Amino acid sequence: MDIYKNYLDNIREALTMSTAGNTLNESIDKSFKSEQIRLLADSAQANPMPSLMKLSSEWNLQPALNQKLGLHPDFEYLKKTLGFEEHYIHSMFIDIKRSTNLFKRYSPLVVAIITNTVQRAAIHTCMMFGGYVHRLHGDGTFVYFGGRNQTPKESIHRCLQAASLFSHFMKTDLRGLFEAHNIEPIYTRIGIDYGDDKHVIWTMAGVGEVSEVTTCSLHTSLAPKMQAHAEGNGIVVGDNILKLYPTEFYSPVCHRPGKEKFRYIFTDPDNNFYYTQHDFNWQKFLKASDKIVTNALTGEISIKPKQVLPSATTSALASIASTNRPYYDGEPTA
Amino acid sequence: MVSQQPDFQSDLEKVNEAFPKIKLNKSENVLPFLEGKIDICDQDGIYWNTFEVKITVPVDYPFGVPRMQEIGNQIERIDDRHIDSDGWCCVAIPHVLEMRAIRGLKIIEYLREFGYPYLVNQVFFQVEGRYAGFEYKHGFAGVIQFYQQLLQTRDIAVIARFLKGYLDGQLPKYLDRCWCRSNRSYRKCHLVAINRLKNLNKKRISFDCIQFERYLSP
Repeated sequence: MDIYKNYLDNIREALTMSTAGNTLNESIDKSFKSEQIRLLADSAQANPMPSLMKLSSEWNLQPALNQKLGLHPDFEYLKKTLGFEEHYIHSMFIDIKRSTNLFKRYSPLVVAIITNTVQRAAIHTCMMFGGYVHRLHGDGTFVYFGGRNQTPKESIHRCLQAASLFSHFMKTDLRGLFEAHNIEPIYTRIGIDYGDDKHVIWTMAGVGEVSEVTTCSLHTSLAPKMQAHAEGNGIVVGDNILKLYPTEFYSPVCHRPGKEKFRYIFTDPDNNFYYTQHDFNWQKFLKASDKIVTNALTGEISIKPKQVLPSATTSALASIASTNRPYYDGEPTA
Repeated sequence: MVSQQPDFQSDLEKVNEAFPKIKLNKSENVLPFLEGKIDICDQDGIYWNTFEVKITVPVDYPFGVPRMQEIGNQIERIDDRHIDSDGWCCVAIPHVLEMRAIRGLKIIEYLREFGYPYLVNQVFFQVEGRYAGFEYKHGFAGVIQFYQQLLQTRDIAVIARFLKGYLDGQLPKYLDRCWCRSNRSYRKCHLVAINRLKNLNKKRISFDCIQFERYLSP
C-alpha cells in the first residue's frame, strides 16, 4: 500500500546494504555503516513519514502528533492532582513477533533499523488515527484510542482502521519484501478491548518522575492477553467492542478449528461473568470501506484516491473494456 | 429459494472476494438481488471510478441471465451508453447471454465476463468518447450483426432461411449444396455454424425469425 512506501523503502535499503556491505574493503564498509546510521536516524522521525502523512488530507484525519509517552493529554492533569477520573478507553496492544530471528542474518544495527521502522510504522499509523501511544514493551506497543472530545464509537472506528491498515502493511507489503530477500517474515498480533466509563479509571501510577498517567481496568489488562490469542497478523477484540461496534466482521476465536477452549479470555463464575474474545476480519473490514479500492482482477487493495491519477492512460482500461460488446435493445432514436 | 441453496452461498463468497462492497439483499416479498458498489481498476491496478449497482438473481439460477442496473446515475441515460432510462445495463446482446447461461452462469462469472467489462468500457467511453472494442448496432440491426457473426454469412436472406429451416427441422442434407450459394456441400460449409443455434433458446430464434421475415418483406 502506497502509504507505507517510505517505511518499506527504509527497510529495503537496510536489507540491500547489509548484503552489499560485507566486503573486505574497510572504506566501503565504513561508508555502508554511515548510511545505515542515517537509515536508523530516519526510522526515528517523530512525525509520520510523508507517504503516510498524505492519508491525513485524503481521509480528513486529525492526527495526534507531538505526544509524550504515558501522558494522554486529556488526563495529564492527574499527574499533579493525584486523583482519578472515570472515563472510557480503547486499549490496543500490538506485538511484533519473530524479529529475534533477524539476528541470525543481520547485524544489530540492521535489525534495529528494521524493528524500529516497523514499530514506528505502527506508532505513526496510530497517531494518524488519533491514538495515543502509552507504553513500549520491547517489540510491543500499547496504544489508547479515545478521549474527551470523541465518542466511543468514533474512536473504535479509528482504532480498527489503524489496526487494519497496519496489519495489511505487515501481511502484504513487508511480507513481500522479506520473501524477496528469503527472510522468514515477521508478523504482528493485535489485541483490542473497550472499557466504558464505569469500568475504567485514569490515575497516576508510580512515584514522582518515575510515574505515568495510566488506566486501571480489566479491559486494559485484557488487550495484551487477547493479543496472545491472535493468529499471525491477526486482530482479536473483546466482547465489548462487538457490542459497541457491531459488524459482520467478527467471529469467536473458538470458531478457529480446535480452539474451543479459547472462547473466553476471562471468566468469573462466581459472578456469572464470561467474557468472549473474537477474531476481527480486518481484511473484509478494509475491503468494505468506501475509502478502500479492491481490484476485482487481483483482489489487491489500495487507498481510494480523491481523483484519478493524472498519469493514468486508457490503454490499461482498453484490454478489459474491449472484451465488452455492448448492445442496446431499442431502435436508434433520432 | 435460490438464496438458500448451498451452491449459491459459495458463489456469493466468491463475489464477496472480488467485489466486497456487493451484498445480498434478501428483503421479504422480492426476489433476492445483490446491491452495492463496484470499484473500477485497470489492468495496471490504477483506480478509475466506482459504480453503484443492483444485480438481479434469476429464479432459474444459474441457468438464467442476471441483470445489472446502474443506480448511481453515473452513466448518462442515452441509447449510446447502452443503458435504459431506469439504469438497466445492456452488457451484451441477450443472445450471447442466453447462450452463455445454458452452460450455467454464476453471478461471479456474470460479473467477470459481462458486468465488470461493461463498466470498464463505460469509463473508457467517459474518457475517450468511444468504446474500446466492438459495439453492436441498436435494435434489430444488432441482432442481424449477431447472426452474421454466428452463422458466418453477411447475407440476410440466407440467415433468415437457415433460421426458418432450423425451426422447421428442414435444413439441407449433408451432401446438398449449401444455401449460401458457395458451391460447397452443406456439411463442409455451414453445418458447424448452424449447429451453434442449438445453444440458443428456440423462442428467441422464433421471435428473430419473424423479425427477419418482416425485414425482408417488401
